[in-house]
Amino acid sequence: MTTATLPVTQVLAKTVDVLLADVAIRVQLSPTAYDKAVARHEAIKRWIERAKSPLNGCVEHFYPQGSMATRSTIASKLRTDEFDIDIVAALLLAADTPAAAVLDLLCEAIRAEPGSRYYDMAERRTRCITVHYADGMHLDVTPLLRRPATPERESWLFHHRERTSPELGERLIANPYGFAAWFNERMPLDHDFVQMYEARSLAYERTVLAGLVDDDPVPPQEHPGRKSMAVIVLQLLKRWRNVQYDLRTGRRPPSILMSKLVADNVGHAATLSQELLHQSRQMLAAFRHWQAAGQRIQVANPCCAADVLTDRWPASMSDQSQFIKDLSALVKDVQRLVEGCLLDEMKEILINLFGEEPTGAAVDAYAERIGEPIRAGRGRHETGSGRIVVPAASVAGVVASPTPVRATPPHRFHGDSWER
Amino acid sequence: MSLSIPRQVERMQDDWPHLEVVEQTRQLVRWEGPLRPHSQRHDIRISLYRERGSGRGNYRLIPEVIVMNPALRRRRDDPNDPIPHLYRNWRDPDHPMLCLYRPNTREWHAGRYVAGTIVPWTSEWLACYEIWLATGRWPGAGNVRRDVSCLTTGASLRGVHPAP
Repeated sequence: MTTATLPVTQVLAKTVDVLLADVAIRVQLSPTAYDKAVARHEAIKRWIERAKSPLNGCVEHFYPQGSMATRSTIASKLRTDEFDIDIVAALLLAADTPAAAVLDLLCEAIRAEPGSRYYDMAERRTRCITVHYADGMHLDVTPLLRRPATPERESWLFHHRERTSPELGERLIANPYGFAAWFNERMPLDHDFVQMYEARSLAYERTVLAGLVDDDPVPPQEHPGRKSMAVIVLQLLKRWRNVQYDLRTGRRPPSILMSKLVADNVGHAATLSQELLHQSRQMLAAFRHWQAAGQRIQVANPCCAADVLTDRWPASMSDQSQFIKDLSALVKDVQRLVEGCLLDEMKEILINLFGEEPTGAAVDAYAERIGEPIRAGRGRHETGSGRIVVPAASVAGVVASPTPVRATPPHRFHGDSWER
Repeated sequence: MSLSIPRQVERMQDDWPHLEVVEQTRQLVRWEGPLRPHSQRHDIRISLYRERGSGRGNYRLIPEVIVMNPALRRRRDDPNDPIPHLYRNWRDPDHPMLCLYRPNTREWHAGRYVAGTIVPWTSEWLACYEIWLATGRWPGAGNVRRDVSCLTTGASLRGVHPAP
């Protein structure tokens, strides 16, 4: 018998961790879509700065914000691959420019005259201009005005509903650039996990895009698959929120609030499922703390106290109670996953948390990874536990296992079905 | 060459220390303990019977594996779909025996260690069973036979060995 200490991945030692990683990969912005978003970001920047634009010479900075800046973008809808990409256009305008004028000016710069490329794609919103693409991607371009003599990129954010009086416009203080920098600095790049996740993302991308030709190639970017475990957990938590709120009306907990709470509690857990459990518990504890005090949660941007991340949600104590109920159920479910259960129960829990489509695909992929070597007589197992070892070839970033791994002698199952 | 029961026990102790001997005679050894192919712990019982063979000094070793806990069950999605790759256990109908290899081939013979074959095959069986529960598809290789040959093999054990 062949006995060897074969390389197996420790970061994905448990089935639940494999499935969670594969669910996250299936709901996130793929590397190709990321490249496309970057290309569109560049194109729209050039368009706004074109010679005949009303904002020619008035764009100080153009940069990603929100999930695009924290590399945690996931599909905004459950059943379609729609992605919202958030971009800031930091403008050089007079400090007292009214909110309505700032938003109208940016809208005019993007739409331009009838027949031009973005004319029918741009939509004026209350805080940004949304550019809709045929493939479901949206670019939300938010105009900001730099506040002089304040910390790095602290700015005015504008709020005005179209076709209402300009006097109804408001300006708020925000610093999305500072928040993203603060968030990214706190995310540990756990080497093994980062390598593994990146390799899996690319492998999935290859299977999805096999045969497709990118009609809009862009220069290579720093790869978006290089993510901290906590960022993957954030993606999973956002997906879970989207599933819970899919059929509810009203606002849902904002992504930036969830990002702040995750960054506050980066746990350095050993596995993805343990980090998810840790983060879920911490989030629940934070909300319970405010609930016990009879108040709605209040969280500010750590780089800008006036930038309140909870200004639009929760709107009431009842919003908060609902989310606490959701979080309590989440903790219970993740606890069950971490303890270990049969694969069909695991699948059922994951469907309830993250939806049918990504879970079904992740379970099918897992079944094939386990089943193919068994069918081919190339199975491997850990002695002692009997754990079936997933082929190392499909996982990069592996480390040696302290447990002996052995090749399983070829065999074929035989026998009848049990008609009880 | 046939391996003795003491040698089987020794090798099992080295590779699978959690599978403990619960009964041992000259004709029989029985182990019980956990395997965890995915995340769920499965408690199994392996019995190995020694049976005289045709030639002088020859004997056969016949393994049987049953799952004690959690009890095997059908799919929630399709309760009419029977569990594949099992032998009927005439002595203990609630605990059917796992069909781990093709009889009348050299996949299993008395010169092989249970620790190196039957136990990892059991782990693969359990892994496939869990996947079947979740997807309705049995991912491992093998034939589900509805003829009598495999049941005959199982039935033949009934007369040879006492009920546990």
